[in-house]
Amino acid sequence: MRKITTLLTTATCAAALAAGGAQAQDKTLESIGISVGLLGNPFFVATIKGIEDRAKEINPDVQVTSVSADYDLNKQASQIDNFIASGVDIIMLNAVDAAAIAPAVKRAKSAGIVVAAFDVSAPGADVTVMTDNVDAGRKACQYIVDNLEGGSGDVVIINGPQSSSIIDRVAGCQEVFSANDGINVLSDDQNGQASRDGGLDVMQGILTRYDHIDAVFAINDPTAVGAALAAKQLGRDEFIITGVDGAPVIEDELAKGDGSLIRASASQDPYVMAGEALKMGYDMFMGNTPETDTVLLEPELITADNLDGYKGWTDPR
Amino acid sequence: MSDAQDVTASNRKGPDSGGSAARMKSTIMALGMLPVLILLAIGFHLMTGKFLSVNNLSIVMQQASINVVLAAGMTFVILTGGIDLSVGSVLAASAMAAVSVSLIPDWGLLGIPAGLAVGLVFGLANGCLVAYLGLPPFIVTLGSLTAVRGVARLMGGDTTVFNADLPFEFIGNGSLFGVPWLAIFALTTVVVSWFILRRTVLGTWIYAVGGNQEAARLTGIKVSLVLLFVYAMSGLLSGLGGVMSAARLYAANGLQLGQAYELDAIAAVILGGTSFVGGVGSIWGTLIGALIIAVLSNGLILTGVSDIWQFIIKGLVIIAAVALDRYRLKGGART
Repeated sequence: MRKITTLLTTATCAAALAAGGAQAQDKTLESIGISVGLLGNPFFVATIKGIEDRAKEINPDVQVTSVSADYDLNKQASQIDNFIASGVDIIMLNAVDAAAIAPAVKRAKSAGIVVAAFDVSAPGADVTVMTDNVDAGRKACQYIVDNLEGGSGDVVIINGPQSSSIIDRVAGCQEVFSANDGINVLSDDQNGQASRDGGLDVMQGILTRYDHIDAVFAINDPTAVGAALAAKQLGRDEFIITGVDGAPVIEDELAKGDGSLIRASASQDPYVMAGEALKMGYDMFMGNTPETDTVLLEPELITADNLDGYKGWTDPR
Repeated sequence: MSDAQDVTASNRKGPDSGGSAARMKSTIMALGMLPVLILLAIGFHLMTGKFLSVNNLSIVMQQASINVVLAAGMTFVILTGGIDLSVGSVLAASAMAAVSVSLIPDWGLLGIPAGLAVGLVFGLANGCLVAYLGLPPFIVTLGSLTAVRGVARLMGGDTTVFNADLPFEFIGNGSLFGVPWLAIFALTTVVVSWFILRRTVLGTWIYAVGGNQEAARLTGIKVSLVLLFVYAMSGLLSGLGGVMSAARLYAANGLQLGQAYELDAIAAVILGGTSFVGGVGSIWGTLIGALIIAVLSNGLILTGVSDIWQFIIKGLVIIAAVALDRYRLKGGART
């Protein structure tokens, strides 16, 4: 938590400096374009709210346009071109492909537009704010190690589509597992498609393959829910599951305590994340380069014990 | 196995062939893809020692069931020489309807008819466009693949709808005397389809329309009605698939659910030996085709093959199975 606080303080100071510089240049933030992976996902709904709230604090009349790229690189590239054509001041970008979006970012920057990346890095972006996904994997898997008897047992990692955030989560998790000699990773190369039905299908296979499992790390919350459904259908309950996200659905599961196999999730805060990215992007827009151009937000591990204090994605702010 | 195949086989036998070789050949033909399915199952069992356990077979049946239902509808359509690319999208829309309606207090069971009705309506829409406007099925259903996907997303405001207390969850998670309800639904669908195709006049008409549409029209068959029926059937069964999927997951999502399901359904029908140009094929073949796909998916996870290799192996096995089939039926009239 201290890391976040320090970062926020730094950012606030930078914002104050930016406000000072603003009068001199007489620039106002008039329009913002947002492109996210999937508009309907509650995660992105929260990011958009975070951006809008922070932007309205800067200029109540700011015009915010949000579009959904539907995880399609072509679509996102055209959306960025449209934003360039309409002359927005800042593009808030949740890249659908952390590498291949580079040319589109370059076009926006050469048109003099500030590009602020959030949730996923984008090469060439002016500023980036993301969850520390390596740390998310580390925390979710440390919970497993701490809660297994003697810190040892047979564990499974349900992998997903190989995006940078998922690769990082698995890397963080494996770091913890390999540091503990008693942990034996049974499987880590099955793709649960980061979805409920994908997690269900893969977990059914894994449960059949192994008669005894001690714990499962799912790369996101929908996968974790799918894995729990598979266990329920097969009448298996000898293991615990952890995930990453802190999504609304996982809050319900965690609230059940021992009634659910899912015991912990390393949560992200999309509202703060995107709002922070906008503030940093605004600093750039005003001509003040922030001290650091990449901010990693520390994920918080939520369990049944600290669920009450958790501010979820859909909670009012 | 299939009457149509039997006919082809006996035609080719000729009047003077009664030898054991010929009899053997006709038996192999009737079996279709069944040997491939059995070989795969034994192979996976030898590799893992777990594949043929009661527990795992029940999982395979569950995982195959939705595709079996979609592929049964697809069999009707492909038998008339058409195609239905919209099944995955219709499944998503139906599942959205089923879960949304299930959230109504005390009336949650209405989710089942709601899901079926949504499927039927989209199926009828496809059917009308193909049968009465004479538009090509590929284009019509390609359009509805996209449009219905949009409707499915619209229905939930582009979010995932959940219902942890789904009133019809038994369909997805319960079993009757140890047989999962999902598998019972799938088998019932196959048996009903078999009855329609083989024991009713309508079934004869469907084969006739697929064999030669012009000839069928000249013999007085109401071709438009037959076409309307097959697309409505495919829509209705996609609706059933949607209800099954909703019951299995306690949730539906307009964007992700059912993506590329049409391809699995078409693969099952073709693996089952149904001709792409229509007129030849059987519903039992489709069942075996769908089971082959499910056995592959399940068996490869069981043996611990990585996700990337699963794609490559699945594709190659499908091609190899059809190639084997073609070789087996060399000289046959299949396309």
